[in-house]
Amino acid sequence: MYFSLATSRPPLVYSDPEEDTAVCFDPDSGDTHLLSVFASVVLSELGDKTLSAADLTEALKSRFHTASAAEIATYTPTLLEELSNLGLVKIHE
Amino acid sequence: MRVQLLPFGGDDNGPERSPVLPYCESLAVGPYTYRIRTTLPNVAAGLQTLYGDFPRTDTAAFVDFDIALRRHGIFPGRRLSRFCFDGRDQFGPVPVEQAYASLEWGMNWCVSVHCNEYLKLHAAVVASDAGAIIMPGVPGAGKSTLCAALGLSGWRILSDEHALIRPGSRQVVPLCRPVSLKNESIDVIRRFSRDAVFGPPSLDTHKGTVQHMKGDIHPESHAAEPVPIRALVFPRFSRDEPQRLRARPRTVSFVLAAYHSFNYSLLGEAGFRAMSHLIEATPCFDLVYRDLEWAMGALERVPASAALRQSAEMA
Amino acid sequence: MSESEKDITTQSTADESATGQEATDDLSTESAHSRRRFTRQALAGSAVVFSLANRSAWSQSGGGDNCISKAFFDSFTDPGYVESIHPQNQDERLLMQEKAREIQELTAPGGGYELVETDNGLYCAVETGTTSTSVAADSSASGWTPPGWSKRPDKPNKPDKKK
Repeated sequence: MYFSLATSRPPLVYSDPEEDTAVCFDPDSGDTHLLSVFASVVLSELGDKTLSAADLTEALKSRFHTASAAEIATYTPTLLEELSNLGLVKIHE
Repeated sequence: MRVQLLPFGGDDNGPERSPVLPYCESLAVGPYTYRIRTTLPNVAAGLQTLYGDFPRTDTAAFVDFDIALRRHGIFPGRRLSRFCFDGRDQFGPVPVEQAYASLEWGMNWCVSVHCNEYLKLHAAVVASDAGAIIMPGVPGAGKSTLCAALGLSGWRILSDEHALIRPGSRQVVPLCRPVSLKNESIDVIRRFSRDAVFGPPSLDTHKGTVQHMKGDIHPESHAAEPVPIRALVFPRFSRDEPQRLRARPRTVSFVLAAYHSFNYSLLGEAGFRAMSHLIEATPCFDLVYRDLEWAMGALERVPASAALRQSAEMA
Repeated sequence: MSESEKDITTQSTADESATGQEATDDLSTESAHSRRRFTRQALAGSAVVFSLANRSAWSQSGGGDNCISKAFFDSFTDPGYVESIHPQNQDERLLMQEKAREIQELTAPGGGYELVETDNGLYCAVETGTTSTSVAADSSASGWTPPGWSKRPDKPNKPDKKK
């Protein structure tokens, strides 16, 4: 299973380094979401790439070095599904 | 020409004066011009009381909002009025006794549905020498009561309804108008200060009793220059909770402010960028209060934004 | 937040409310040294805390942003509302409460909206019946209608009266 951004352009993100949430603007729908910072990092990692869950987990491990690899690997699929439900991420079977 | 008239209504506000009819004035309200016409005595009296000190524009000047409050219907027993914008009846007839409230709501509507050159928040805005504090919130949050009390205590009321922010700026454009108070808040403010000047009450509206307090009581009330924003404070009146002024995360405040905006979505990406630009440099707070004096003191203690402090240091 | 803003904490313990409870100013936020804990929180909670639908689109399609969980709204409007039973994330709870307050205001008598229950456990505030229409397109895009006011439906032109 692979993942890419579902939006025609990368979503806009506002974040504060002291906070654990980020604001994400979907340029296609005009919706605005308050996401966990983890979710916003996933979106920025996807960028213009198509990545597998394993690729994303590796990329995220380097960004969240204080969280264990097991925690990230467990959480990532759920996170991607939620972002897919929002229309931000596309799932390629 | 400015005309100073006596306050409306008897009691402690002095004797009532008969309004001049028909009323027809072009008023400068912030960056806009309203032309208001009416033959309804209660509306004219309210205008003369609450807008008597507003600058008048030249009769040949461009009018942004052309408003008329007229009696509705031909049957003498039906005491109804209607709010007309650009000659069109906008909202349907209301009892004449509520006509003044309908005027103020209609004037709010004019800005809310137009004026998209600004990012507009549904908020009260007050200012001291330290800058402007924007107070967004749903109706009933207590922001108007707080706004009125602050205005009576030396703060400048920039607006009771709209925070107008030009995208890319961190300043708010003044749009001073009367403060709308409801039910118990009217008595709270009457008790707070005998200097409060009120317009005619509108009884039995869907919000209960509504009455407006004169908002341009600061010497700089009609100054046009935008005011630097000091902070975003989300107020909430609560009889049960402990009073507090607490910093609120910027990202959460962003979404809350957007939720309380009239046109954040309409502006699309420009709205997102404008809000980002505002929030990233503006401290945000949650204010829960029960006591007006305590709330006012808390707002005095709100620290200025980094941008404001920097400009002060450079000055 | 800047360091100076984080460090400002004003205690007003001398300011007591009428009930004797202490009033507090807490102008500080969590500092960066709790990053390990904050990262775990980001993993533990939902990825989506709150969504603000595009109201311009909503006002044209008739659905979306003015909906809320039925369970949350019922309990919020219950006089015995217990805050602790709802979203534990404080931010999410605050946002949901704001939304519930606004929907409550919109659907109050004369507010111009009514509460409609959907099949998937939501309450949605929709404009009341056929006696009121949405305010003009540009105003409905603003997502706000003066409380108690709805724009009159356009009347057909009446024939000119004979003089």
